[in-house]
Amino acid sequence: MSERSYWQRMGRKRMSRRGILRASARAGVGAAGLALVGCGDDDDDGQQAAAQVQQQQQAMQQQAEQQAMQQQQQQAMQQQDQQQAAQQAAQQEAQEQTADEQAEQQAAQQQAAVASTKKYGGWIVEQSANVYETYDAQRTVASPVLQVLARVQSKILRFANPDTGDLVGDLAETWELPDSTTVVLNLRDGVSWHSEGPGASHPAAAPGRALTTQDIVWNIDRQRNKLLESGEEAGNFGRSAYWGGVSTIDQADNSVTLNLVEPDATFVQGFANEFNLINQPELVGGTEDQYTEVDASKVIGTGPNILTRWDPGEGIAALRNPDFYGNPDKPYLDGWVWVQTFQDPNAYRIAFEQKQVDSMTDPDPNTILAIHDDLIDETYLTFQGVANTVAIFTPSNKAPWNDLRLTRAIDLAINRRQLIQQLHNGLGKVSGPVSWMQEAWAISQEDLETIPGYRVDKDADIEEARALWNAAGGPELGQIDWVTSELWASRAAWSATPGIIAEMFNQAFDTDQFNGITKPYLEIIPSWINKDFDPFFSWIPNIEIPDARADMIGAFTTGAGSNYWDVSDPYIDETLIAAKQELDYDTAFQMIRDVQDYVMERGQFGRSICYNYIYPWIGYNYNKIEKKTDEEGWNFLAVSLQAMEHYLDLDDPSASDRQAPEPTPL
Amino acid sequence: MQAYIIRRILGAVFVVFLVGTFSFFAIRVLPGDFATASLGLDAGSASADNIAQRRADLGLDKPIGEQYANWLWDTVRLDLGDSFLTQNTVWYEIGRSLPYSIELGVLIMIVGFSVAIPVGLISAIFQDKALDYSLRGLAILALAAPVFWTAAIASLVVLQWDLFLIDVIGQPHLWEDPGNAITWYLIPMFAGGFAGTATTMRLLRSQMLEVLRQDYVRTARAKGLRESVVITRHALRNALLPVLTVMGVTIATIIGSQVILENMFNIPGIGNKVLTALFARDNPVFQSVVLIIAVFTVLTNLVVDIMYGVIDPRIRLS
Repeated sequence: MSERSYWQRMGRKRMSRRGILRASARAGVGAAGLALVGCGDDDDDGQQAAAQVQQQQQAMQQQAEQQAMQQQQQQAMQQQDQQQAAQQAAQQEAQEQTADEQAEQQAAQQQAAVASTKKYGGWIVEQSANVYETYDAQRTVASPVLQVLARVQSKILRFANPDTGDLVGDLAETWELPDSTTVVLNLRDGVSWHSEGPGASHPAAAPGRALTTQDIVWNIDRQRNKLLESGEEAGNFGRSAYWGGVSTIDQADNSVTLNLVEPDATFVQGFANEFNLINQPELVGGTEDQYTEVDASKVIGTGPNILTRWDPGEGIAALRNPDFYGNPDKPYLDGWVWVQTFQDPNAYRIAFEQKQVDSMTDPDPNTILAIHDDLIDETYLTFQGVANTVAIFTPSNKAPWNDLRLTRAIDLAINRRQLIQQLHNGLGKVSGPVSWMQEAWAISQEDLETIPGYRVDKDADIEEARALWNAAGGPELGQIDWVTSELWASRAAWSATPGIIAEMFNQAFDTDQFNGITKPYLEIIPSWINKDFDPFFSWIPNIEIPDARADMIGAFTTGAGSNYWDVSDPYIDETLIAAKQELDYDTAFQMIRDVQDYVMERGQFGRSICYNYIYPWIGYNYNKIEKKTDEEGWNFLAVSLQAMEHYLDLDDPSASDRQAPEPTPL
Repeated sequence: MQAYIIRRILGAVFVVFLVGTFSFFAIRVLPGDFATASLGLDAGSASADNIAQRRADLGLDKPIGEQYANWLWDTVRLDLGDSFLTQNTVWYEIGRSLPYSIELGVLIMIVGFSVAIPVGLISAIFQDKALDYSLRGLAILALAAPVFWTAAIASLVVLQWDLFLIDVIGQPHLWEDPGNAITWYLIPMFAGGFAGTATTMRLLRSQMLEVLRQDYVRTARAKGLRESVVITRHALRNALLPVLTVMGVTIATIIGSQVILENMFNIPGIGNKVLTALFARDNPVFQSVVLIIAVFTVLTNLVVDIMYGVIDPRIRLS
């Protein structure tokens, strides 16, 4: 493999030894791995059986060769007992790399074996979200929009593993990083926009046209400049800050070169962010004045499915794209049908138990667990984290909360584990400054158990919190209104939250100063952005990629976009910027860990991350979604992955009496 | 009589105006609006610009007085606006939903009255007998059991024994697929009918008992008429008059039940629409559907009042 990557050359000997985190290192710090992945084809597991067998044989042969090589290495090591310590370390690293490669090959073999059992045909029926704000993915923050669009449209790259950040090509077949501020995207040949369906029939669309480098440039320019075709500036391009990291763009033949403002090892992972879908300039540009009028005729893509219906409140459908680029074997499914949201769990339960829909979720986990118990032989459960982290925000940028003793007292007093029990039936895990969902960067649950604020021995936290509160004059602050967002409190299961939060602090500080109130986001968000907010409890913005460094930089570096607490600390600035450019995963991880410890010792500066909750999903055994493990779904949006890998096994006994309606034909 | 009708119509218009005004302000008093509701859990990710842009697009940034004046003027001109949620006109949404609600409403009434009238009649005829006690007990149960409870229990029974398909996704009309439609409507129509007509049954029983003691009934019997003729032609027809007067209230109860039942069985009727609009903060649909329900209820009561006035001159004179 040619060394086309600056990051690869620099980081070659410093790849992570931690298998589970290795892919993240590739995608994030060790952009070395990006080029390595980028050189390969992502769709091996979709090849014909013969090819798979051949692959397996090759893999086995390679494995045998590597085992033999490993034995030789071991023998050599035995013969060189008196080598220098540095040489031993080098050998040890080589062994670890070999072990990693073997593990990779075994995983590839397993994937190939699974792929050979996958079946084609059929359509999935699921509930839809009902409410969609726009059909333009670049102008939304709402994940329901992506549940539809990411099956129809493509990204520059996509995640082979959304949780580790392992990348594969999508519209860009390969990508290169010749130096620390340059990314070259080599577009895939033979990609064309959908030539059928309502979107292709729209007068503004250019159906069947080949994808060009200009399409990519138009999408990037539009977002980094926040400009519509009319020349008007739009404030709702959700990823404009990310694309603002591009200073100039060059085009040549079938490649696009992005010149970055500064070195950023996390940048490439952002190409695979589910929100970074590529629009057709003609259609989206030509309908920008109707961007909230959602229907299938305004959507065209290059992805594995063609949208045939998008009638919010009624139904949505997509069918297989017969001309899906580069991979005639994908997707497995003939189509998708989304039915309108069931307002009542009774209707949803009827639909699921009578197999009119193929899966079910419910805000009340007990409902799902009860149904699973009833249908234990026919169904399986998956638990999935919710990427909107739950947090308590204290305005440490202004008096009286700028006394860090008070902020730390609040952080220590938050009973995170109790909140998970009270509000989520125990389904959730506490999160440090980095959410547990960003597994490669988060502090482990075990470590958190002994960290102040997160201790299992909550009495110790309370004792410390009370001492700080009293020392900082907390009792003299008078009545304190603690806000919960109305959207949160409007959910029946969480309606008692304002009282719960107030009571938690009142008990911790042995006072009755705290009152729970609610406010709408319309008040909370502007005041938060203007850094003049009241203390509040709510979700914080969706985590979109597994690399935590960008989020940490955004929250804690001086003047950063999400630093609503005006944190300005030279140590944090220096460490986080260094971490962003660090090639070695272990070093970067330690830097992020150090900053996490540092901010936790200071009450998280008022940005007290609490937890991420988990919801259960139930599906019939015939409904084969792509999962992380047997019981776990993906931490991050994995719509593109599901669009490619999801399949049905209608020969499974659980598929008998299935009543699923057919999608509308093209 | 003419003055009476005009008086009643003016009163009805005023009631509709009040209900419309109430619904306009009620949905705005609730937390959030469509701009934030459409973002779901991710509302926290939205920028202030993003939300402000959405509100401006929807006209939610205008002063409340201006919004109210616009709504009032548009409503008078029968322009109900467009749904925030679907972008369709509200008239289209109502036109799509109304047939489902009419189907279910009629079925509930058929079930309800076809149960209530015979049961009320039998209960009166067999006064203080075991049958009477049983039927009265049944009526009390119908009054006491919430419609959602009855419907939920019935659903669980159907699911447990896999008795028939409840086609919550196909949503067929009776004229399209009568077989599937009737099994879909079966539980809601019986649950709604059972709950909505207990009052009618009890009222009919007490009226029958009173009428059966009247002199003209004794005369009819003395004339040698068969008991069935006495009951159906002489007693029942008179006993039904007061029942007619409470029909307006009964229909209002049925509409209330339908909001619950349509959601429990995913029937895309007016009741389902109003709840969906409420959750999504789809103001134009919510306001208009509440208004339509108010018009329908007021009209029913108006017709009953006028009929009652026609039947009993004392009413219109007072």
